[in-house]
Parts: sequence; structure tokens; C-alpha cells
Amino acid sequence: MAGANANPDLPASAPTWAGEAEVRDYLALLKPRVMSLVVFTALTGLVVAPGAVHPVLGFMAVLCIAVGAGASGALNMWYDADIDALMERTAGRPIPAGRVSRGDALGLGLGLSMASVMTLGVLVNWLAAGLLAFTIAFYIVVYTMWLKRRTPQNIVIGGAAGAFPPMIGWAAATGEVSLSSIALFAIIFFWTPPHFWSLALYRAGDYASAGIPMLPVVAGPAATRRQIVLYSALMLPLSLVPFALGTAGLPYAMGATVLSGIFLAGALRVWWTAGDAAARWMFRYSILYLALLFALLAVDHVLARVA
Amino acid sequence: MSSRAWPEMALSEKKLRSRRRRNVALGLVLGGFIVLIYVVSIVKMGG
Repeated sequence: MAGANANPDLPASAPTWAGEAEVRDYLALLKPRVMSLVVFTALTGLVVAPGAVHPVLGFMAVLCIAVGAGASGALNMWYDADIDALMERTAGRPIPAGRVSRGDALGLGLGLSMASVMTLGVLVNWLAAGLLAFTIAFYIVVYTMWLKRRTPQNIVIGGAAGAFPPMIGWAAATGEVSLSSIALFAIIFFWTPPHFWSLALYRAGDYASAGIPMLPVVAGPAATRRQIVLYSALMLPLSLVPFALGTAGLPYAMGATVLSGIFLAGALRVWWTAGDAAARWMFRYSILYLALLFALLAVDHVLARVA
Repeated sequence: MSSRAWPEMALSEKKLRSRRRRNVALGLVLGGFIVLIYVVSIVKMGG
């Protein structure tokens, strides 16, 4: 690191890149934790889709979706480096910390985006590749560049980007988009607001100092808590749609009811209790909830096939 | 091109180590990609 930052997009206090980036810094640009949830939901879409896909092609499809998600993360960090430097939660990321240059992040993001889309198209099918390309473009252009800094509905509309992976997995296996894959999309789409607003409730100061109009910053905590309850209440019937469509069986329906019931109870606790503890619990549970719901869906499907 | 001819471009030992590690990682990724393409080609030709 060498002195003040000459990049006009970063605060003067941000360190300059010194060309000592380690491999783990480039991996951090790919947001591996987000990537793991994307991999899991995409894999579920692939597994529960009708018909059988060759395991090698299935692996390639999930790998391409994971790399595409990682590329989105790198492009997001490239564009948001200025506000990342202002928030405690993100100040340690490779660009604001001065370990990787913005140009490197842009190059990595664009390169991996093109490689993942082209590889998925050539080796699996072009519908899945098209959906992956749309997802990356939506996340960067619509969410990161347009909505994130302009509206408190940023993560509601932008959440669509995170909801596409199971649909891409489904398209990779079947070559089509069906009502069942749209149901998987809808589950993640409506799960996203309570997930991010729970985080925003106890990180509101961070978002406010970076000028990001998250709902708790713009409308206040009370309105945010109400919205969390509304979206969480929707999850109960929505999580049962795969059962109604015949994509999942009774074991899934029972498990989903319990998980969604706890999700709603957690949201009500956020509404009723003051302080951050309930919101912190809700944020952590929301990650576990989505992972368990999709795991349940996959296991239920595999068991039904074996039986 | 030696670092003696361009002393201002000489890299520290730490930077050289980082660069070496990055190159090894890139090599492994590209090698893995080639193996994957080979395996998928065999699968596609077989199917």
C-alpha cells in the first residue's frame, strides 16, 4: 500500500493498490458466501426438474452458474467500491482495502461473465445461457447501477437477480421454463426483502452514511418491520406452491409449513420487539430457511424417485 | 528484460511471491477448464 488514493471514485483515505493481491483476494471478489447459496438453489432446480441430465453436464451447468454469480459479485464490487469504503461491513473488501485495483475487478468480472455464459451455451443449452446472461446484466445494470442508490425498493426489484439460479438450473436440465421453475423463482424473490431488510434494520447507520436509501433509512424501522411481516406471511402459501404443482410431495409440504411458520414467527418477533436482537436472529434464520427449504425440496424429490 | 536496466520496475520479493501464486492459480484454473472440456466432449460424443 502506498499513500493516499489517486482514484477520484474512492475516498482520499482509501489505500492505493500495491500489486500484492493474493489469490484469496480475487476469490473474495466473487462473494463466495453468496455463491454457495446460488449453487445450492441452482442445483435444486436441476435436481427437481423432470427428466434426467447427465451428471457431468449437470456439474458443468452448476459450475457455470456459480462462476456467473461470482462474476456478478466482482462487477458489483467494481461499481460499488466508493460506497463499500464508507460502510463498516464492506470496508474490508479487496478494492476499498487497497488489495485489488478496480480495473482488475472489472476485467475479472467481465471475463468470467463471458466465459460462464458461453460455456453454458455451448456445452449445455442456450436458454440456460441466455437466462444466466440476463441475470448478470440485471444484477449489475438494473440493481447495482440503477436501483441500489435511488430507491428503497432496490432489493425488492433487484432481488429478481438472486431468484433466477433455480430457474437456470431447471432450464439447463429441461431446455425450457415451466410453471414449477417460476414457483422456485417466486420463493426466492419474495424471500429476499425480509432477508435484506432484517440486515438493514441493524445496519441502518451504515447504509445512511453511504447514502444508500434502504427502507429503514428512508421509511424508518416501524414501516420496515411491517413490510417484513407482510412478505414473511406470503412465504407460507408460496412455499407450498411446489407441492400444489406436484413438484414436491407431502414430506416437503409438512417441512415447508414448519419452516415458513418459524419464518413468520421470527418476523412477528421483529415487529413486536424493540432492539436489534430479533432482526439479527431473523437475518441468520432467513439464510438457514432458504437453504433448508431447497434441501427439503431436493431430498423429497430424490426420495420420491427412489421409492 | 533485466531489473538492472529498469531499476524503477524492480519488484519486491513479496510482490514476486504474490505474482507467482497468482500465476500458479491461473494455470491450475485453465488446466482444470481444459480437462472439463475434454470430459464433456467425451460425454457428448458418447451420448
